[in-house]
Amino acid sequence: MMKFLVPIVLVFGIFVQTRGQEVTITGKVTATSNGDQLPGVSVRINNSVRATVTDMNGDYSISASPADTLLFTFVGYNVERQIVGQRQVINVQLEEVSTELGEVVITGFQEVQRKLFTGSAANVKMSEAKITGMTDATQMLEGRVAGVTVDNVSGTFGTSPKIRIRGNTSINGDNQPLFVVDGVILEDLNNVSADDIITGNANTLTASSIAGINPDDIESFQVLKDASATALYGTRAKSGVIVITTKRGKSGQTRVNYSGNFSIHLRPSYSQFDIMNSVDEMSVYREMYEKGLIDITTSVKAQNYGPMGKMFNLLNEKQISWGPNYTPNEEFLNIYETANTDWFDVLFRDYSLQQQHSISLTSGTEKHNSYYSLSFLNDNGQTIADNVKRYSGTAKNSFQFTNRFSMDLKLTANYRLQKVPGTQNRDFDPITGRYRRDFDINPLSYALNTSRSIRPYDDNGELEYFRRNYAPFNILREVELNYININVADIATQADINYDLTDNLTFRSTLQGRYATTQREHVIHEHSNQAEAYRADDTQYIQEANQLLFTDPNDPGALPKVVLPEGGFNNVNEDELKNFYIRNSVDWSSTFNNVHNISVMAGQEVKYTDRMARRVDGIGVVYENGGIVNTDPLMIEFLNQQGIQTYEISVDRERFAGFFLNGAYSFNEKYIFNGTVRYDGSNRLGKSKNARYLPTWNVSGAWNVDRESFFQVPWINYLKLRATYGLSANLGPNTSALLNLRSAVTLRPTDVETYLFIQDLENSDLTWEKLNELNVGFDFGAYNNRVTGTADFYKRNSFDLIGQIQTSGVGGNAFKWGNYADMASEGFEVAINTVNLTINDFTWMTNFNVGYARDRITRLDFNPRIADAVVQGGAAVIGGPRRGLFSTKFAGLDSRGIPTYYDDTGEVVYNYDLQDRENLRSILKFEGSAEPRGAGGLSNIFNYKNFSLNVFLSFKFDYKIRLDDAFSPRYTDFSSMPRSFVNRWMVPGDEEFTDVPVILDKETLEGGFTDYLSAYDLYNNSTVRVADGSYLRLKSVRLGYSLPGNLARRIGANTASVSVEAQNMLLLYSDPALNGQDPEFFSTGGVALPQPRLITTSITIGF
Amino acid sequence: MFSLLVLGSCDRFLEENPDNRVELNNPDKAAQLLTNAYSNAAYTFTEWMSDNVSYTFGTTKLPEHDQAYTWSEFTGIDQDTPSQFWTSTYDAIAHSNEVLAVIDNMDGDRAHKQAVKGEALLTRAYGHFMLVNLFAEHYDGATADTDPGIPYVLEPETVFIKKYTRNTVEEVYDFIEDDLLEGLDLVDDSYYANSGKYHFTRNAALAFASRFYLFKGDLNDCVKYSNQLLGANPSLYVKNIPALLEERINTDDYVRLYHSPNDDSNLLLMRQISNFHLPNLGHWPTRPLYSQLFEINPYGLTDERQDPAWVAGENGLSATKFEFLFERTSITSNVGFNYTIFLAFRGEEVLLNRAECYIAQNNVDAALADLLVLASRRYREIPTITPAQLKQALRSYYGSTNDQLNAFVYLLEERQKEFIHEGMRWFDIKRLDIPVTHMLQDGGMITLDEEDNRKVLQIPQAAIDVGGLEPNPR
Repeated sequence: MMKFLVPIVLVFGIFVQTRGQEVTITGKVTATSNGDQLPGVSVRINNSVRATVTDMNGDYSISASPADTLLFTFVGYNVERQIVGQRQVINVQLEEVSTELGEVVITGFQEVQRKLFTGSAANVKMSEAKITGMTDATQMLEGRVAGVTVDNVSGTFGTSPKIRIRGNTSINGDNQPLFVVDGVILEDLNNVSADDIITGNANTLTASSIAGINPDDIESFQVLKDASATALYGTRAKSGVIVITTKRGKSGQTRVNYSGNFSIHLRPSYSQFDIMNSVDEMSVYREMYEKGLIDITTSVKAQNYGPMGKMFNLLNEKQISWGPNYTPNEEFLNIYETANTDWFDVLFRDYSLQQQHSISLTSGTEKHNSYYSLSFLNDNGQTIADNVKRYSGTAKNSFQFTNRFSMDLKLTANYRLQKVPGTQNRDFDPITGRYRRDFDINPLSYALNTSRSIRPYDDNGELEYFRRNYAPFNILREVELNYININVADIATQADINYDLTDNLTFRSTLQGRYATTQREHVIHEHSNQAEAYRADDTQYIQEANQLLFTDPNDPGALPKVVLPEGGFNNVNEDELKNFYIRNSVDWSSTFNNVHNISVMAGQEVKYTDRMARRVDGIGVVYENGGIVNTDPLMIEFLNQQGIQTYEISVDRERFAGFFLNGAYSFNEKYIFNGTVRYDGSNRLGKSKNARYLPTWNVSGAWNVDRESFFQVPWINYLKLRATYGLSANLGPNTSALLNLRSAVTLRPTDVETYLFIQDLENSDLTWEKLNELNVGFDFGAYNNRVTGTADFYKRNSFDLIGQIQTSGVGGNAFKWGNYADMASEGFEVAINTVNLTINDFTWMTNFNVGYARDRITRLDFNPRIADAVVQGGAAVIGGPRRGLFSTKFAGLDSRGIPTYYDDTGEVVYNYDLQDRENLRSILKFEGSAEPRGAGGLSNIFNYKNFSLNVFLSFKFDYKIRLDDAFSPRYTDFSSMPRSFVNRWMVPGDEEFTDVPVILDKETLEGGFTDYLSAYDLYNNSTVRVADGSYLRLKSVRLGYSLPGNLARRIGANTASVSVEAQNMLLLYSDPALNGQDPEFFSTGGVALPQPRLITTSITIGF
Repeated sequence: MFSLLVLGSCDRFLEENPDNRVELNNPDKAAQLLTNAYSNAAYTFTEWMSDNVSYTFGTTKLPEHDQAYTWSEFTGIDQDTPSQFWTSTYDAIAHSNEVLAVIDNMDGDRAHKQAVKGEALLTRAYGHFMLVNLFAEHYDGATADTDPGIPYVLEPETVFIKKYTRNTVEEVYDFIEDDLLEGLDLVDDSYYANSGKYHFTRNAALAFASRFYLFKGDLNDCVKYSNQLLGANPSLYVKNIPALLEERINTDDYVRLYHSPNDDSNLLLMRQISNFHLPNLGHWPTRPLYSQLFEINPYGLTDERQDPAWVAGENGLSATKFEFLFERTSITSNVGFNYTIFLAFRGEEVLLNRAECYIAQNNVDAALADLLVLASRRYREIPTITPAQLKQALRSYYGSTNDQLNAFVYLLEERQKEFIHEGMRWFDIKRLDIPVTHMLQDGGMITLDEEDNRKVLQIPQAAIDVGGLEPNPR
């Protein structure tokens, strides 16, 4: 590089020539905003290399001729042009840029002036993005940055949102961006795979570390999008990087800031959902009675029952009497027919309070400054079954030991205490193609799925019980006795050292140590329904039907028996994280002849992460008796027989080392070239040395067109063109190049022994997942920077992705994971910020951004089964997007009201072979991407004197959603019904008018017509159960008022402000076919709850 | 120099195992790996292809049931399909090969290593033996060196995609013979914990040798290895069904006794993931077929094997041989796999193999003596008779004076009855060119000819498409 620099210097040197009549111009440069003197401002004669800088007082002096134009440039301020004319003193006021170009881009490795930055990155200031009342900072990114899609899949505290930067880069692996806090990668607390986020399983709450960060500590987010921006992250950056910078101390006066947010939750209501009222429900139950589906014999042995079943059981026990001629007791049923229970009212809290208090202190001198903060979050919960407390603290100290040597020290800690409803992990049933979750007591699922004719309380105000899992059940009691306690403790310490070896050479070092532990304790009290279900053996029918009873092989002839004679369960999951990180780098930077700026950075980093996960199931824990444990030996046998372990431990050790080299050259801040090479190694691919290391690289350039002399467009303030090409990578899923043997215990009635099995054969061909990206973009500012914006276009080719293929089977693995898939994607991003109006004290500003990315799998040898392809989350099929939604082709109801389908030959059938992989494309209909391709946001900010109004809309488009399962061959009087059941098929001929299938009669149900039964499972996944996912959401509206200084001082403060904000208030647009289902939210039960509707009052006071 | 140093220490840093994977570095772990060298896939789907079943009404028919019943190509790849048997058996073989690749150079007690090696050779031979007999022509000395067999895998796979080709039947049999004989020589029961019945004991290996040489047509060796097992008192290796019926408390208990590892006749037990044994699925012997099999016999006595039986569908019966076991994915879930314990080798088979050799060698009396050992524990209150008396009885029963033929037909009927639902009938149909006729739901008949191509299962689709293996002719 040096070699070709020399001629450039020579060439431009020619232009340095005298022009005669020169005079010495002097002047002072100050800032418009506060009149401060500005030292270090570059003063340059246009079209010449002659330049100077202002001194400590903002003064300068330069010789120039009257025809020259002086250019005043300074980072963070607009360029000022002055024609010399006959003046000898030229004082200039520089206006601070409110635009992006004035900033620095913080990549985590270095800070680069925005105008010298060649990559695609977006900065989001917390002060602008903040939605008061939101507890997870990353959720605030929704709609803020073009090309960043945030799906808030659950509103339960701790669930990380699904975030995509420029769509997906992996088919089966992680697409979540890398989070970097103050220069160090933030490790997840435990490993939750990419698709697990939407499962609603309890581990999703303790996966993300972000939930531990107090949003008030965050200064800004930097979203690094293209290969150039992320180049220094090498083999971890394929999915983009979000750099979080936390606040730091300021020299000067000691300042104390308090902010308090008080939010109230608004509960959901039935008007939002498509659920029948109890009168309609009872008519369905009556039809079920008439069809012989509910009667005295079925009710006695029913697993679950509601009012109808309860009546028959009471009749059986002769506690109530029959109606005339042995008809149902109408008087009894009427009580429930009119119950019309509002489960939302029962299970969700009214105006439940969430408080966040945060206090921070900054103070310092020139040699030392500090930032301390403490915060407390207390959320009483949306529902009666959840609540959370979070405590966090930060201490940051910066020391300037000498002019050359400085150090930052940081200590952060947070602790979380959370309670959520008890839940089991969900299971996929490949036979029906459905997910199941037994013992689910998720309040939202319960409210949506439970009959409204069931009552929580009886006439005397006592809890009223119905039956679930053969045992008495009342949801209010169950949430009290069946819950999960979550504890998270997370502590980290970090040191950043900066040593200027010479004026041009700086040595930097970052060290971090972190320890976090997570505990989930699932308490299943002995009186909970989940424990009582193990003791449900009232009648022989139930004994034979209850799967939780044990058939003892050593007691032949006996009926299945209870193996949990007393007590409940105490299931504990623990995760532990130990993380050490060291990075050392050397920066060298120099400017030659005022125009050639060269900087080089070289460095090395090492990461060491150990994770440990342990699960212990306590069986027969008697909580009321001091927690003594009485485990029946037969229970152990019962579990062993089914291959279930009560203790599990697993460790995960990650070792990572990388070397990097970055070089940048800029000419006169006009032409900028940048290149990065990285060489990374990881132990994740096993001991195979050829797979262990991977080099990545990137080249990029930028052209600040506005600095060209020929560029004379007065209304354009700046224009920068950028281009990037490079390679980045990520470790794929299931990555092991070496033979992977695992141990287990044999599942047999006798001769139990430990054995080993081959999890994966050696794969010496394995390598990292990679991405080539080409990005072009431009940034501009116009009309005095009242209109600024940025646009990017990119093409990406993800290759060597890990895919699954079917093999000949001869080697031992019928299916293998390997680098066998490619995916292409392209997209664009546009962001525009405008100042629409400034009249006296009134301003109106608008920020708009939109991003769109389309991905297409170009190589993947192996299709999923039909059962996998029709699920809610979609599936990867060649030629389609990463997750495509597929539907069974509904062909109408037959003459008995049973749904039918077209098969691949167009013939009408009741069933498909759900295991089929070959004919997937011809049997199923491709609906579209199951993940949003486009997303964006629009915010309008109005300021009038001390008032501000912020209206923020977010939107997503171009994707499809599978409606929640609502139909089943068999219904119980425990379940709610969709309102569309009113239009169900009742009599022959109805098939002409309705798509809602008939309630099957007993004969069909029990006649072994399995095809008819599976037709209902297909129906849930059919073309009629699809909706467009596009939506426009009024995400937040905030009205703020900041007290004028004199008013603030009257209360003893320097600054004070109050605001009221409403979030998630309404969906301005969504597909009517969704019938109230939130397109962003997957109703998976477990611990998932919808995004809360919150109204937050916030107070900020600074002293 | 510096960078080399850094990279060197880096390599050590990155050596760390990423998880709890087990390293194969001692004979105990090698033995544990071999515990999984037994395929958990069933080949009992061949029952639906055999003359042991007829059209059963009222059962659920999955695609594989109808495909097997009509000798069509199987499309499924899950339990009870040839494809599953193929992949699962090769998976088992991979376990053997991982052990064989390292056992010789491993630290540890030499005798233990030898015993482990013996088991690995036997499991490798057994897996390939079952595969070649399902997916290739039966061994025929005249054509075996050109008949396409299956790939015989001798080393672990270490690359992402490896190409394999089919060895000839002759080559496969030669490899099996090598592995079998060496394994038989090395195997040592004293290293097995528990009953050892889920592993190749020496007895199981002898039973395997007996079957191998019978199928290969090597009568002398078949007799030789059968003798080594049966010794002086063959009845030790014949299940005492009347005693079991006496002892049982109920039907479930009978099933457990039937495949108990404590019964000397049970030589090799294997866990198999299968839906085969569920009476509400697939095809079963219909009641007339069942009584034709069991009720009509030379003795005119009750055959103890016919009872107890489950009702299967509307018109079928299922002899109670299999325990209904279920592997649940989690305790609260009803999702999982049905599995059962399967008897891969039984003493009765060795006795019948030897009898068959005796018949082929025209030593009818010796054959009938063996058959009487079996009969005495199968027919209710059978009087003690001599082989000569049985010979007479067979003459009148079959209406033929060809004693050799009578004995052979009687032997085949005994094999069919003894191993009903166990998949053995298919190999007899195949090696002895027995035609099969099936009645369809509408009353129509279809036939599998004596030398029908479809008696050789097609190589699984994936192995043809992805693996490039030559398909069998159709």
